[in-house]
Amino acid sequence: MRPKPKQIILSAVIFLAVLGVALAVRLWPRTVPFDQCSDLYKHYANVEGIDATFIKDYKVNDTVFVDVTLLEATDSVIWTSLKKDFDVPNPSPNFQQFIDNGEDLIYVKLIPKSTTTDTILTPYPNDVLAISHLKRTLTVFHIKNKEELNAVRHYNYDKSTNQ
Amino acid sequence: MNKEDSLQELMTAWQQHSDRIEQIAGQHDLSHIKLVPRLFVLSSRRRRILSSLAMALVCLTVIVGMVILRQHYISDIFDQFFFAFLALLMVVTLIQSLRQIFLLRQQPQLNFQFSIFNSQFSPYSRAAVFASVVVMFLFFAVPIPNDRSMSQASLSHRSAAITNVSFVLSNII
Repeated sequence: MRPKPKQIILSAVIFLAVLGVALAVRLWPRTVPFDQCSDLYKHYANVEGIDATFIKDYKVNDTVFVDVTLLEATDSVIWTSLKKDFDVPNPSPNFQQFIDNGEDLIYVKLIPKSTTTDTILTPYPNDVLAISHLKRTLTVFHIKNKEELNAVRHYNYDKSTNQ
Repeated sequence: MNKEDSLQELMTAWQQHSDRIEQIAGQHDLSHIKLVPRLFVLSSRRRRILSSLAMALVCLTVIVGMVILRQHYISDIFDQFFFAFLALLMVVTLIQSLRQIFLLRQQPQLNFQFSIFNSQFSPYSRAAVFASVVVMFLFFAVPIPNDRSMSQASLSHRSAAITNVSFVLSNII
């Protein structure tokens, strides 16, 4: 029994519809519900002068995905207060010179996880904090294990060796 | 009367009979009469059972796949609708296949002919099965974009945040 042209067209439409729905499910941008965001994001989400963003499963490399909280200060007063919250020292005069010349040297430090629950739930006790003085931005990578820590800290090294 | 004469007589009678049938068929519209062979009914029923079971199995596989993949993406209302739809489809197809099995058992058995059974697959079933396989493949092969799950909905905000994080990672000293 040979299929009729109408049947073939309808089958193709069914096929494309299923495919379209699957792609939409896979790629559709999603808004993470507030209660599923990091505690850090929840703390700073409604603070005036701080632009907070939580990114779920940021892809660092092919196997490592980490949650990231981004905190951007909109003015220098807020930036000073944000640095104080995270014990970020002021840049040295040499470092400040680079920043004044528009060069953004980003350095990292390990910070303890923000809540006791996080510390208990994840075997790795620290998160990685990346500081950008030029952009007045703090980026916190929520680390769950050693592999994630290495992937974030050695991102540039891994990138250059993989090329 | 020898055998050849008998055969000739029979063929003439058959020809007259055929001509008469064609004449009657030409006078009346007989397209509404559909004689369905019993074998076709049975194979069609078996085909439906297999299609329903295959569909239920595909739903189950996708549900299991989604449960495993959920550790990589956030579960929201869109996801839950899809999940509920798959679960409902699975239940409906299972009920359908049980009904067909019940009906099949009430009929006299004939030898099962797989070739007939196989050739009777409708293009829709084939398209659905093919699409399901491609969808399964897509779920594993298509990479999840970095800006997929974020606290902010606005596209410009998402793009700026991703650029920032990417910049930070690339410039760590």
